[in-house]
Amino acid sequence: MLRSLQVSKTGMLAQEARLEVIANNLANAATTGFKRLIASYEELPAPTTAVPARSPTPAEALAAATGGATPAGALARRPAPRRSDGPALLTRVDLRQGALEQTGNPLDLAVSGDGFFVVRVGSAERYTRAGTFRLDAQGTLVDAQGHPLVGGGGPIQLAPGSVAIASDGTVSVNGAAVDRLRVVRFPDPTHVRPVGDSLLALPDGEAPQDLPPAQAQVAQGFLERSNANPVHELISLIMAQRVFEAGQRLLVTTDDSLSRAINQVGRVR
Amino acid sequence: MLRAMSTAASGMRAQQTRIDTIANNLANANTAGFKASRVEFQDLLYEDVLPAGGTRADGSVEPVRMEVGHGVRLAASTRSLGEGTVEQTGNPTDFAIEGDGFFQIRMPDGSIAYSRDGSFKVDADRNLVTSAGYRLEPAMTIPQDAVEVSLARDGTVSVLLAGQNDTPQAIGQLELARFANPAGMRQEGGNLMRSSANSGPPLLGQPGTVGYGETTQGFLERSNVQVVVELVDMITAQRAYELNSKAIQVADEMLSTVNGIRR
Repeated sequence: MLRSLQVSKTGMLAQEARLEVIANNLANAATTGFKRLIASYEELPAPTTAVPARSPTPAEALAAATGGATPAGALARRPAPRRSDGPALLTRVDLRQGALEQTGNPLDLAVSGDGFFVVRVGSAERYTRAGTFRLDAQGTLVDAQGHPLVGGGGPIQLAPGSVAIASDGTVSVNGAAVDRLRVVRFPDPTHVRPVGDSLLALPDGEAPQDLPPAQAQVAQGFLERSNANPVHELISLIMAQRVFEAGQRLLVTTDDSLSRAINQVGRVR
Repeated sequence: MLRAMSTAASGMRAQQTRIDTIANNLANANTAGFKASRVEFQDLLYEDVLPAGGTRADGSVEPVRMEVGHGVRLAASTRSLGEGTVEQTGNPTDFAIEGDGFFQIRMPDGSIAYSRDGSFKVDADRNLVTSAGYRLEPAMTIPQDAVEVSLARDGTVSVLLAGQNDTPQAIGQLELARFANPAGMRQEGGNLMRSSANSGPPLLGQPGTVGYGETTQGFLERSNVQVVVELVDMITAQRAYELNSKAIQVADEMLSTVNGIRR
């Protein structure tokens, strides 16, 4: 009975966290290159009250008691029937493509496919699909926060002139190639995490794969819109709300039953 | 719960700023030399509710992590530098630049501002000035007896004096400015822009030199605001605003559900 109260609690907390994830996706529905977070559930592990697979035979019991050898696996314990404490919420980044929108600005870049631009933040590398790049006062190609975009030879310095960026990421000024933008993909998308400023990061010690030129698919004069889909998010929002309410009903009902058990069952008239 | 509300509120605030920018673009749809702005957003920091690789009470390892974002913020307002429509006016002191350069304008305090608005006038001292009365730099003085002013594509300004048919006299040479990062220039109002740390120092050159563009006379550059694009943006901004208000509404209703637990 008290466990059922606990299940309502974790269920409601999970829906609350889910609402926060959805609210963040919706708040970023107009953020260039935003990748939404997917909230998923995982059952909390059941308490480890394992029971033996079968009762030991008298011989095995004797062997166990005297420290002798028992046949392998005979007394292996199997888990108790699963009675979990309800779901816990986990998030991962949804790397799916957002819509590409034409802006015509020569320093607006988008990637179609699974590639990401590389920017340098301090000494670390971060990955982004937010392609609103610009030049800083020295003519270095930087992102909206001023982090330099990384090419094959480090940050890319451009002389004044008309900038052309080919689909393989080759940057040229007035027709002369300067460098090629690094476009990378993540071998294991589940390791990617968001760090704010429209940037993604990999855990320390992990590196992405550089895409070969033919697969980079950079589009100049385009921006990738957020991949948060309002319809999807609104439906999740409604589901979160209703499941939350169901958790509340369960809690109230359990509370009622407990109240009856405590105050009425034992009463004799 | 309260975090969901403030996250959604940040979304509403961001959309509001976007509407403000769109309104300004639309208000300037007919301003000569105006460049449309666009706001850029970025997501805010994420909080690790469950760090990855953490160990649970029973010794198993968390496979993935739980991260909750805090909403959105304004990252930058970028100016689209595309050229506006060039329109013929027939006025001899209307100049347009076909290319990336900017006119230099001498401000009353002696500093230099930059503009794409080429609707110049002649003031009482016969100087070429902007509509606000600031002088073009280098200064051009039209002689009293000039009957015709002409501007060549390379920026040479010449006049035809009364009685001197067919022999125009050069009175000056226009000089244009360009920047490593023109989008980083500071907007000052009055169709004027200033150089900033972001734009880099001005590079001066004559019209006709590669990268500076050429000058034409009798034309004006209109704003580069595309009204249809702005209207579509306005609709999406409004809907995104509404969506965020829905998230606040749901958070509110969930809080009210919580209040219903204990009757």
